[in-house]
Amino acid sequence: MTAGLRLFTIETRRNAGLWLFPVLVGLAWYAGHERYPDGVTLWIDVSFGIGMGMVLAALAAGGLAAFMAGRNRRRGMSELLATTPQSPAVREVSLWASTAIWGILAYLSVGAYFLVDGVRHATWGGPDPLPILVGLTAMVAFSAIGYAAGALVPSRFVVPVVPVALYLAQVVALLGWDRPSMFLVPWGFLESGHSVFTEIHASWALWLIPWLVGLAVVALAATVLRQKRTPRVITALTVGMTLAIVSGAMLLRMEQREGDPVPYDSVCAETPIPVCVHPAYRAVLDETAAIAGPVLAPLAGIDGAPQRAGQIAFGTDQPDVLTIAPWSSRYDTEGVVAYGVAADVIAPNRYPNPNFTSAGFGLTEVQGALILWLLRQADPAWATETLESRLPLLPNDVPFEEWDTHVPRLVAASERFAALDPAERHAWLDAHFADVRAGRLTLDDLP
Amino acid sequence: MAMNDEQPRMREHEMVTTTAAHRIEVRALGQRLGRTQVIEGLDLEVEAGVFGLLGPNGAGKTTLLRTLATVLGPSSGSLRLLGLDVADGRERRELRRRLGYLPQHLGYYPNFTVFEFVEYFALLKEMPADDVRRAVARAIERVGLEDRARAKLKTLSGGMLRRVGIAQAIVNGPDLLLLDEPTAGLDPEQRVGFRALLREIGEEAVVIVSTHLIEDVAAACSEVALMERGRIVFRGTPDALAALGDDASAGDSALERGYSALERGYSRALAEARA
Repeated sequence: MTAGLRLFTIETRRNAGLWLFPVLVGLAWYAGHERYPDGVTLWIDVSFGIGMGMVLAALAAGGLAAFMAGRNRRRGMSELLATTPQSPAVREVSLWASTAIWGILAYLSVGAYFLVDGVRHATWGGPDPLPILVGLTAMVAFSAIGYAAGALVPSRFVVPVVPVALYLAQVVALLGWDRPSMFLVPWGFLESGHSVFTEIHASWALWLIPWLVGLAVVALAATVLRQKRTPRVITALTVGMTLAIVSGAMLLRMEQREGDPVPYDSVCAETPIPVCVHPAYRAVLDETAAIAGPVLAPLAGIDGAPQRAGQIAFGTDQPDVLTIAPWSSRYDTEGVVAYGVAADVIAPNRYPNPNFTSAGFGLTEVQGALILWLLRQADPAWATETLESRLPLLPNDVPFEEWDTHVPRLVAASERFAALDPAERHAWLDAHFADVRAGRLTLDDLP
Repeated sequence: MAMNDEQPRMREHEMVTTTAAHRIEVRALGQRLGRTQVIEGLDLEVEAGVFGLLGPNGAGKTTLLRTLATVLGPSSGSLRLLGLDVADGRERRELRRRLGYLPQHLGYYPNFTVFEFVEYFALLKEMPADDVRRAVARAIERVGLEDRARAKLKTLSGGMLRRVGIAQAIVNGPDLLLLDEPTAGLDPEQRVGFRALLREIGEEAVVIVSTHLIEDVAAACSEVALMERGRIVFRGTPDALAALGDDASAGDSALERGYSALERGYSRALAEARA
């Protein structure tokens, strides 16, 4: 074993990072798992989930590095170390590396767990190295910045301040999501929209990596420079600054844009109105169709009704396609998902009530009654759940406290509509569906 | 324990033949810390052997050792240690490879084991990697801590920590060993052993020991100097120092009486000069 490696081994084994390792793993897992897919596992989600592990763990790694950077000062070791021939650069980089390795190991451990899970469950594509590398370089850079702060600022408060400062710096850069500074933040890239429909914003990641590496080199070189100015350290500082400035400038010139579309052929269920999903979500097609299919079935063949219900890329709405999300048990129950499908098809132009002061969501009473009818004919339990959960069924100007007064009228109207002869109902819908969707009818217009 | 081997004290005539590589030369050294002139115009030549540095608090002993250890650069004057010019970066680095230093207040990493701490410094002193483990084991053995080699430093007593500090100082087999109050915290048995160790190292290396303990000087040093107000006011053998004492001088031993007489005389002379 070489002397340098042995030095690194001793430092690593006796590093405070060993004690903080479980916390680092927990933070990486928590932040990554928050973005990790539930239901269908896609490699794109796995890759970004791994990268997201840095969001909290890198802050803790920065604080840890700040703590370790003050070790020699705290322990009264500076004098003794100054009498050794080993260059401060080797000492500082060795201590930093042995500290940073714990954060990196935590990040990679969680990443390995997600990767194994991906290998077992992922159904589409393959691991994308870019978000994983962005997360990894962020771990390195934040640790180096924390180390520099700990070494250059001789204060006991620097340890708690570093994670807070790193967090705030990112938040400030991300504020608004439309400022060029957002491109400088790895968190911004990892939080940016990604899906199976479009290519990821690769150039963003490809400039983020040298930007973060440049920051790390500048931070470490500044730390060493404090003790000794050698041509090698000044060269490292110059290279790091050049790297950071060039890549930072490229990032600031970047524009927010959707990635290029990735072609695909939908897979569809044979329901009266076909329910389709991206082939990556084939595993939940049956569950998706089992909800959307029955809800939409009575609308098949109605003039103006969607020809298809399916998952389409954000921002690519098609007039004859009802956009639905593939089934996921993560956030919603079946009843809530069914309500969403019914509300989307009956009241596509409803708008959120900005004040949240009333029971409605911009719906008309006719729309509310027809939503209830669609749900009840598909599965009465879904209609019951909608009523019990007080999901929006009423106009905006109806206060919550009047819910119980108004809802019975909707229920009665929906039951009356359900009792119609199917042919009569179909004919009425055929004639009035566009008016229903536009919110131009009152409850008295409903047969 | 290796430190228990009391050996006859080495005399001047027993010193090994020295060359520039085993000698320190200090010329007109001045050391100013802030507004205080701690050392002024100090000339010193020391060859292989154990050299004791005595003096009251604030005399400049620690500052002199820190300067010799290259912790502080001299404010004025020149240093040539083991034939190397400390002003030259490359030569200073070479000197540090051959240097052992125990500061007055030893810092340490509480979670390191004794072995790791000494090994850490062996590596920082750029010892050949193949020699490190053997040298570390030897250094720990020489200070009598072989049975605590795997103990963490935070579990050790003050005296044991001092011995760890000595072990890190001698691990590289230094040609120049600088020890500031090395026996502070050691029990009598350990101090006896330590003196023997000093004499053994001093057979080939320049060893400079700053201490308040006259008996350490008597037992271990081949030569002694007394510092007062940044200057060396006496230099000679321990016997020569002892000879300066008289019945009126304070002290339990001849050497202590010599030291007291010298200090009293210097203080009196200084007062007369001021008057």
